[in-house]
Amino acid sequence: MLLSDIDIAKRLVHPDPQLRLIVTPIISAAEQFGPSSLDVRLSTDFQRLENINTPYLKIDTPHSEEQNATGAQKAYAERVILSAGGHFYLHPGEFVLASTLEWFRLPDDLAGRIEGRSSWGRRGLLVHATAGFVDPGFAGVLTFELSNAGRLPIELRPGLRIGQVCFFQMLSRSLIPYPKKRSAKYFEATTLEASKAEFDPEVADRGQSTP
Amino acid sequence: MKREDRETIEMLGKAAGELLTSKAADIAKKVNTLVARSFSQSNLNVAKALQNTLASTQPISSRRRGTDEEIYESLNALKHDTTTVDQAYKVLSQLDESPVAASEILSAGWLYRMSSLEGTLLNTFAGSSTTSSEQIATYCSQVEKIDFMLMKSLELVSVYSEIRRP
Repeated sequence: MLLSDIDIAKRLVHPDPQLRLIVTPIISAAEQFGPSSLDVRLSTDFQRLENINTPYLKIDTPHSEEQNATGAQKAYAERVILSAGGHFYLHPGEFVLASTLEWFRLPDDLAGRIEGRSSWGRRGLLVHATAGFVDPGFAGVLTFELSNAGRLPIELRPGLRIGQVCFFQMLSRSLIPYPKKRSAKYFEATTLEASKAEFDPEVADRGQSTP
Repeated sequence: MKREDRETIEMLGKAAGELLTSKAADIAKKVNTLVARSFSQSNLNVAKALQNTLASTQPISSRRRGTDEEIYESLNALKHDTTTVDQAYKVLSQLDESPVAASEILSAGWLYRMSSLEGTLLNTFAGSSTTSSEQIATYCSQVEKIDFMLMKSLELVSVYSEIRRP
């Protein structure tokens, strides 16, 4: 069941903490509420995959700069943190990670889905490549997988409403919500997190890939 | 240092001193027009309230004016057949959050750290069967989690003020 604007609003201040949805900050409800969604803004940090010195993405190599990666591993990712008034130019065909300004905590009976906004879609901006689903119980910022499908660079800056999130009430509460999931890797992130696919058992258990 | 170099430096220093001296009165006048922000009791009250939010591990960049109970009641009073669009927007705007001051965020962080330190240390290190390196890693991750929440909160406030800048 897709939540309407009033359903989302009620969940934001619900008296039962188990049912409460947290999205903070709501800077302007009038601007952010759609009939069945809530607009989300772009944060200050971006990460792009370096392709000059990288022949291919190794399946078991950390992409994150924060995981003590060195040398060629570190070259995979370049972090760009803008000032609040800064600009980021997304070039045609470019793929970067970014995150929502808003921080979320979903109750165990709600799932979410991040989508683009029509105004930005018309400029060629895609906000997720494939992973737009938000698990029940998830907490943290949401990751944008930004790409420019147009033929001109797109100027972006923190605070722009480039996406929207809709919420689905499930028929029952999840038995194993995201924080309890054994393989949860991105819980309570306050900034964008690069892929941690190397921690997936089917990757980690197979050891090093061929060079 | 060569004598001529020293003389050049002295000459430049003297020129810079004269320039600054001539501007000093103007600079002082401008500084005096700035309103220094003192940290008042109301800032402390806000920081104390934010401390509780931080304890539930969420960012503390902003607050709503009304209470959640009041807003929930207002939302429940809206009816599809009688509520006008203006009325609906008015009630929804109660969900707007106003940014807090950076000093309130940092104070809330320190208040939380001080009030939770003993409990955190006891929970992490006392009577645990894990090794000391595991205990230290657990403690560090708890400290980091709050630090990241504070950093996110400060980021939110800075973007917030940029968005609202006329």
